[in-house]
Amino acid sequence: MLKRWFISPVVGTGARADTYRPKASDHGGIAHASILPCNADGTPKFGWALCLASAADLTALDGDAQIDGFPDAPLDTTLGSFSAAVRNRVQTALVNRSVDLTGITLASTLRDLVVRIVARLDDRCDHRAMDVP
Amino acid sequence: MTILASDSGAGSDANPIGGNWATIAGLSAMRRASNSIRGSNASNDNGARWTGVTFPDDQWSAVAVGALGTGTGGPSARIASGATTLYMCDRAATNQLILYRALNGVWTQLASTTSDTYTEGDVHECRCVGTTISAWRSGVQRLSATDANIASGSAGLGAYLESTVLTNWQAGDFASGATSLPPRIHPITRLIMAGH
Repeated sequence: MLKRWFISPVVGTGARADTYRPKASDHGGIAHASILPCNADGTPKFGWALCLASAADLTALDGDAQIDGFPDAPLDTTLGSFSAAVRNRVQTALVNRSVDLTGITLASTLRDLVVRIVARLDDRCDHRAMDVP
Repeated sequence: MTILASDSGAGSDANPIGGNWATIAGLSAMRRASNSIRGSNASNDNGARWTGVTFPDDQWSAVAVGALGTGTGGPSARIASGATTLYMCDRAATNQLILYRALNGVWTQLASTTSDTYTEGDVHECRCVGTTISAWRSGVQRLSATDANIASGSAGLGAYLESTVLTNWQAGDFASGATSLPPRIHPITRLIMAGH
């Protein structure tokens, strides 16, 4: 199974039959673990979520214009290893979600970016706790 | 892991289930029927929390889930007393295992498997350790998510609709540090021991 990180819009109404969930989970055959922080009333704090997605084929997520995918590489990979086009795409996705990129350089890793995203969503959470089959 | 509370499901039929169980706020009652625990409402969410003990914040809740039907169900943890607030490991009618957070009646899917193969009587478990919320099936971790919105509460179980058959519920803490559940008595053996 392939596993990658994605930033996905949150869909749903919060009802039991239409729970809030990452849009990524609506694509067939996708398993996910996601960070979806909420307000005191239970509604989503943000309109987007960080997802660790798993599937035999993740092209459906890559083909969804509303979902931003991380490059298919280990989290230890430095940003300098990717083309400028890939870096710019990821940077745009994070800037659009007000993720603090202060101090991020070409020597930073994908993990550093994931940590910044988690800090933006809920700094009490830990991406290392997320896992899917 | 220490068992702090348990209910095999065996006993006289009762609706609501009563005893040390209290209906989760905002949900319909669970009932005891045919030596199992089931929902009471055929068109709604049902759930109960165990009131016989104060659970630590780090807790687990596990229950054997019966044959796949139209309903869903599974163990819940960190259940609030006055609101529909909880974590739940739900075996959905689509054969997915789904980890939910409900906060003040607002439901959010934190994690889910794809369609999977389940056996009647599989033990599903919801574990809460700090901000790590995980779903287990028969001693194997299937999902792990991170969430910091519910810090404490009681253990229990729930069912969507009334068709899901739940037996051999147990809940406890991680005081001993062990990572696997203690051996269980098979429900049939338990019924024989109970004279049924």
